[in-house]
Amino acid sequence: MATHTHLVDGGQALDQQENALNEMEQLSFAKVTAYAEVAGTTNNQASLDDVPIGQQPGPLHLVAAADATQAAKVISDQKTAGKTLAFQGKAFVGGNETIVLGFR
Amino acid sequence: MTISLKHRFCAISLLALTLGLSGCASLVKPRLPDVFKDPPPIDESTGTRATNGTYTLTDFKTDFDAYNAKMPPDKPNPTADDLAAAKALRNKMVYGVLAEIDYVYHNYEMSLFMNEGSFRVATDILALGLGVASTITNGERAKTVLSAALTGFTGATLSIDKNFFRQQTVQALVSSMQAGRDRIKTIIIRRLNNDTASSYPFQAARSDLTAYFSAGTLPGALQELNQTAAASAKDERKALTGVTVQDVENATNLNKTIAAEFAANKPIETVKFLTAMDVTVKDENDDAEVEAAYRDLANRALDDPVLKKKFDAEAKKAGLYK
Repeated sequence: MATHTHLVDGGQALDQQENALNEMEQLSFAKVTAYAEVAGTTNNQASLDDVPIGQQPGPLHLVAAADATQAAKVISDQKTAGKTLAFQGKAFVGGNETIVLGFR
Repeated sequence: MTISLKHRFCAISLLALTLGLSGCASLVKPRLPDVFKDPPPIDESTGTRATNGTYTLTDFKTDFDAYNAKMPPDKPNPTADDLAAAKALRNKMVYGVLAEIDYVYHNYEMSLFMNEGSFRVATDILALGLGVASTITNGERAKTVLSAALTGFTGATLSIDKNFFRQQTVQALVSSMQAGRDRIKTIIIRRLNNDTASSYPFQAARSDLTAYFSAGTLPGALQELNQTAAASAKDERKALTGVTVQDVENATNLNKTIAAEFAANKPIETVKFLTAMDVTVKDENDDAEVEAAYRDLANRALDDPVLKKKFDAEAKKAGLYK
């Protein structure tokens, strides 16, 4: 299956970026596998792998973490809640660099 | 008194030559300090060539022999001390060669500016001279010859500009060379600092030094410009913004509707939608072709707000956004 990349405005709040990624996944029949800031811009880039039509995974939920310690705690908490980590990367939220984690 | 055509040409040519020669020498660069001259100047007290830090071939050979003694090919597992000594020698050689490349590059950069400037001044004056001469000359035949010469000359200038400089200004080319050089130099210095003589031997550094040298040439500058243009074209994609919860719901509905059509092997609404979006599908019964066409369209729409707007409107009309 092919991989595509699309840009998301990193000046937006986290919930708006979550909407953008979910819309991307649904419209392009794909799933986000990586999310990271684009150097020299305030945009983030999402990498998506195509999924077979009819096998769309569940919606994405984004969580921000200030540092690696907080990220580890977020992962642990989400795992307890039955969520799986889809990706983790440094990205812009509200124009500021932070760690963004995606769960399903 | 009538001034002949020959005399007019001589006067104009002499004027151009005088202007060209009088201004250029002092414009090229200030006097280079002796400690930077390459080769070093003669020391008047000894009558021999002074030492000013220039990395000579003899210096290089001495360092390279010492480096090879620490990293012999028949000794695949050098000691930690040998590796440390080899790293120091490798770094010394690389920094020495870098300095020499920088020296010749900056001379080349200056000559590029000055040669282009001199070329343009000379061609402008000659073109001006030919134009004036053709205007003030008596006789139709002479006028025709001069006009033809002017046309040919202007064409030749344009041809040099087009074929040699690829219609780029020297400033743009030099900026491009510098960008390429900076990029490669950063990689080299990072590797010198972080890599051992084993993981980044001098031979690997030599390859990077060759790339560093090439980046400071005219072909290197044009290649860097092309790569930058290609990267810019890729970045013309627009970032997705302002997506609402309702948009996500619409997209989810579209996903489900299309998935149901494909499950039933009847992507009728999908094909209608593609047609409305000016996407041609050769065989509407070929699900794989319809799917590929849809995926391509969706991915393009996610990078292009204008196309996305049309995508949303047509999806709504086609009943895909339920």
